[in-house]
Amino acid sequence: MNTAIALSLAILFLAGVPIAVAIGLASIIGIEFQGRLPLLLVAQRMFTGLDSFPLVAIPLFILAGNLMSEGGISARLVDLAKSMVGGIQGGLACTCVLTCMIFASVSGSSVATTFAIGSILIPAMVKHGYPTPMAASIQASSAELGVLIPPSIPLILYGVATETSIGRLFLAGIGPGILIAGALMATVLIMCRLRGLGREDGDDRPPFSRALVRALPALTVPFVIIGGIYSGVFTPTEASAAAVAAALVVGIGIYRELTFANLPRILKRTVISTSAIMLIISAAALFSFLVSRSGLPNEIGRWVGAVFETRISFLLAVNVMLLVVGMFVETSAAILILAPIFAPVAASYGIDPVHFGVIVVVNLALGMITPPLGVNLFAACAVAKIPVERIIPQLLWFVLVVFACLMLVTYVPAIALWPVDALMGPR
Amino acid sequence: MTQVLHRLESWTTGFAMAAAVVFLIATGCLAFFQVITRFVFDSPSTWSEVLTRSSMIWSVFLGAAPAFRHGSMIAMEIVQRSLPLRLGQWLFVTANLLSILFFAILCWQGVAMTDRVLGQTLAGVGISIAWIYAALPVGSALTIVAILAAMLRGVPEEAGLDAEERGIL
Repeated sequence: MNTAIALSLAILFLAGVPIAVAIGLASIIGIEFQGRLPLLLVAQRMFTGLDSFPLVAIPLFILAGNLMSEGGISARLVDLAKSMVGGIQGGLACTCVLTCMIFASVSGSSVATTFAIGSILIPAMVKHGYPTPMAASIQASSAELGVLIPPSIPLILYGVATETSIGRLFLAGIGPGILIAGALMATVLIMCRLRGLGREDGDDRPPFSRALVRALPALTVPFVIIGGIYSGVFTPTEASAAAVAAALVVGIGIYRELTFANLPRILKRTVISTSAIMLIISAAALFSFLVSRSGLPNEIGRWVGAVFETRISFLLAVNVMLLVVGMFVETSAAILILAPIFAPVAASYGIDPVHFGVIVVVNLALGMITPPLGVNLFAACAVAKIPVERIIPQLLWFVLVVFACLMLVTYVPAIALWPVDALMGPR
Repeated sequence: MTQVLHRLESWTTGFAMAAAVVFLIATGCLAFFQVITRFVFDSPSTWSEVLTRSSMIWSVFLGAAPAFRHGSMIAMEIVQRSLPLRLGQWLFVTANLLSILFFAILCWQGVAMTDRVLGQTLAGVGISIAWIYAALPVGSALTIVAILAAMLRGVPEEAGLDAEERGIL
């Protein structure tokens, strides 16, 4: 049965069948192949797969992110970041990384981050003399912070798929997020020095105090989310509802850039994004049920246990596998299918499930900036209006830097786990 | 014939979108209500949690039709686009027919499942779970119409470049 499922899944993916449908059809083929399972499972599992309160956080975080980017938050966060790091040579490139990091704390998706920030900063960088492919690649690689710094849709999915605390996962994303942001900033600064770029980045820079005051209302949202979750006041789903409310108050009441006329468009876009991602989640629930019923996870666990003797070699193998998967497979589908199989195996090596979740998400985030299915690349190139091929030579350096960070996050668990243990106590 | 289909489709998909938006708003309001009850009464009401999940499920399955209409269903289009034109179009039609097949099965089994749970009531709310399961067949039927129309319209132009409008995350 498993061979039938895997083969049909690969063929359907390549044929360009939507991923949700491909996963669903492959599961149906599996059910028919196995012969004794009722087809009723299709409806039942796809329903129960969505019938979970933690998953409600996904549409609401998407909605909050859309409300925030329409409500004038992006421009103010750019100004804030510019006032902090914009004064040095290459300051504008640094601003891009830093803005993405701050915006990531209101957005759960890296593509949304690319559109919200890239549409402001890519043209600005080009105007200041940065080559367009370089500007686009800086934007594409910084935007992956969107899925690392809480809230994060992939971390919610990992939490739901493996029954790990989403609050702990959120906190564990912060350290790696800051690490990658720092590494990217250092990289762009060195690049700008070597190539003599960005000498006049410090012009048109607002003073820090004024930028901070203007950005303050926007910053209440991450405060509500992170503060609420870690103090135990909110569950992540409740935090997402509060984030929507805060986004409405800030956008309509304070910045006054969000009007009731804009709302239908924002809601429609949210519905479409939500359905596109949640149908994958729904189909993946059916798929995972069949796979785990077939006993495949135990088989894989035994095989992996026999081949990789130490934790170090296991983690290396997992990283290689996830990197390859991340290049070709959509992130949500990859998490929902692979996490339930590999998280128990990782636990048998004594790896904290929260740490493993962060490793999985950093890997898949790297997949977002590597071709052929690098969603961030497509988004950044769409904003910069250049073909994807032109961005690739520039991108190599950033991929290497993020890869180095991935290795650190993998082999130094404290980067992810220290804030969790410090704030929520050890498990 | 095709014109009738397109007219029908713009009506059904428009309806699906409007209803999905209403359910999305309901999801947000119910989740926010949940937060309030937990702070005011110190114990969240059970019915609001159930209804939050249920309205999200309706929103998701109703949103499938608009997602297909806008070409927003995430897919690996690279093979379709790199093949010669005729072959690529042939693959496009095949992929759409497969999607229709899938939603037809989901609709059929969704009806069966809805029928089966007719007697079960939703905990804390008192209505039948069938009201929620009905999202599957209803959403699937609307989606089939949307896929048919999208297939007849042909390949969305410059796919990938208008990702923001398509709302892909």
